Amino acid sequence: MTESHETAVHAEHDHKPHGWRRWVFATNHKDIGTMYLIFSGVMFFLGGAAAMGIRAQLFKSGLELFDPAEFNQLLTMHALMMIFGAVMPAWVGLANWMIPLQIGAPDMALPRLNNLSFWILPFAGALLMSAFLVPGGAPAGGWTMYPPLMEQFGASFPMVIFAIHLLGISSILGAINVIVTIMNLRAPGMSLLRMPLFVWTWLITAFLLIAVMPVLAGAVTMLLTDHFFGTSFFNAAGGGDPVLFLHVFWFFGHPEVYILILPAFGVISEIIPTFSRKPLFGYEAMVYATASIAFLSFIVWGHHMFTVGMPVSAQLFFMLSTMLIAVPTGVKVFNWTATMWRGSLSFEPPMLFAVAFLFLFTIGGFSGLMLALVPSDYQYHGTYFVVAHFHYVLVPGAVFAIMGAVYYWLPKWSGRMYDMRLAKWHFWLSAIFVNVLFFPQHFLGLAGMPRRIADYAPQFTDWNMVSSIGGFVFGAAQLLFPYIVWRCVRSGKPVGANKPWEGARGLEWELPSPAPYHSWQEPPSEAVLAHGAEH
Amino acid sequence: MSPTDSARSAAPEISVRQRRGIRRTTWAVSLLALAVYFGYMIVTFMHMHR
Repeated sequence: MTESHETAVHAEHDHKPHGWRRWVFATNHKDIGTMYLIFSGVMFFLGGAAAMGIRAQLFKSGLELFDPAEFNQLLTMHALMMIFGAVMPAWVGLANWMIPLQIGAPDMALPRLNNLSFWILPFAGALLMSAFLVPGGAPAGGWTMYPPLMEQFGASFPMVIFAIHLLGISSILGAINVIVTIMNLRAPGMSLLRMPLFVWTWLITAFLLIAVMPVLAGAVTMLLTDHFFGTSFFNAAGGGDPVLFLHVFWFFGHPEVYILILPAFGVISEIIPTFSRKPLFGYEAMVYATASIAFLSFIVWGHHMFTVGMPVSAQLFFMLSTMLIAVPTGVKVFNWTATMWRGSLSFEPPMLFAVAFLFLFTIGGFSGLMLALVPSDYQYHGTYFVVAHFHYVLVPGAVFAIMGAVYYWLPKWSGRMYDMRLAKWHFWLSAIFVNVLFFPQHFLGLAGMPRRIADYAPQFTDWNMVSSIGGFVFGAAQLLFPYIVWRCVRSGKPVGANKPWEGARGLEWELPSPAPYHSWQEPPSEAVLAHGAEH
Repeated sequence: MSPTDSARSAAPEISVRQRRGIRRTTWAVSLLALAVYFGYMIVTFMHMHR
């Protein structure tokens, strides 16, 4: 290729579509990543508004801001919006932005499929939300959609099932794209065991998605045919078995937890070495630990349903396999700690979120171990202890990791630095009040307060008040986040030619900030690869 | 700019070998997803008729 031709081709590549076409017909991984993150942010605040309603109702015993049916709708929709609308799309958005940059690929392998997987989402989200507007209101049986309760809701039942199908299709298409990109578009020399941990965790997550989202689709399809076409998969009167739904749902549901958290492990494995100014301790062990967790996630589903009535041998199997997950997870926590050991630590906002993740996610892990014990689980099952457990895993776990990731890569995306002082305020308010919000729920659960109730006995009032105050301050603090991001993108101080984080390693930091619209048109050379090598 | 141009400009340096790899991996992963979907339905259905 002659030099002039090359220049012309590059000029064409730098061409950026303008106006609404850029977004509606988007095939650029960065644009699609941005749209995913914005969608996720909107759903996070809608789901958060539902959470505020829940905490307002539970502020005091006897409050009736919502009637019990409305309260259960808020609760169910809060979970669906947060899981399928906020956390999963946030990870896909980060994958879109970062995977091509980190493996030296020009874009995702299937750019138009990428467009489709994003644009399914707003319609699915709108369908889900519109369930509030139909007669009888939104489904109120919890996000687990257990029959026969789930089938007792009116017009919103098929709407939510269809929305879940759409969200599932979007996730599967996204996962196909991630796998195909990583398997085929890595830069020459980027072997699998040289890939950044975020790419590794996403590759494993994508396989989990492929393996379990169709199971959820199958489960809700059977619910639908039971309701409308006279089948009796889960209908005891017709020879079916409602417990079968629990098995099929949790075969999806437990790996789903790891779909939400494995990319978080990847992000933390990127942030901690950067701000410790040391390579990640035990890179290969981290990869194998992630794969082990993914494998184990397929054989532990029974721990969600110990009290449903199953043979002791099955209880033992699920208890022991669940406890086994603590081993690879322990490897990870140990390796993150060992990475920081004798490192030259600094505590910028991404590192603050990562360290908080390390402590608070581990609390969620420990309460998970308590729940894994069959005799204890008989006490904890269906109480606020379970609510405290999974919120520790998902809020200071997954959500903190997403926020840490945004604070880490935002200077790369925008070419500008955010207001560090304000971001630290965001962190400290979040880190303190997330504990005020969720820690008392352990006490409530141990004292016997059931989950998913619109009112409670007066002896639970004190800790519920504390929890609600924590929730209100935590919720208000989150409003800082979009403001910080918006101000950074509009008028943040340009980071210039230097890397914003001196300890950062990886191919994405070999590109200028902001990352050009089309990056890695030519695959990075071995020298660039070696310079950016993380370990 | 037509959608074709846009897609081409998004991934200009992909070799024939990579394109073949992309096609094969896409098929393999898509079939895996379909197999899981129908596999679970069939297993559940067999459970019903045991």
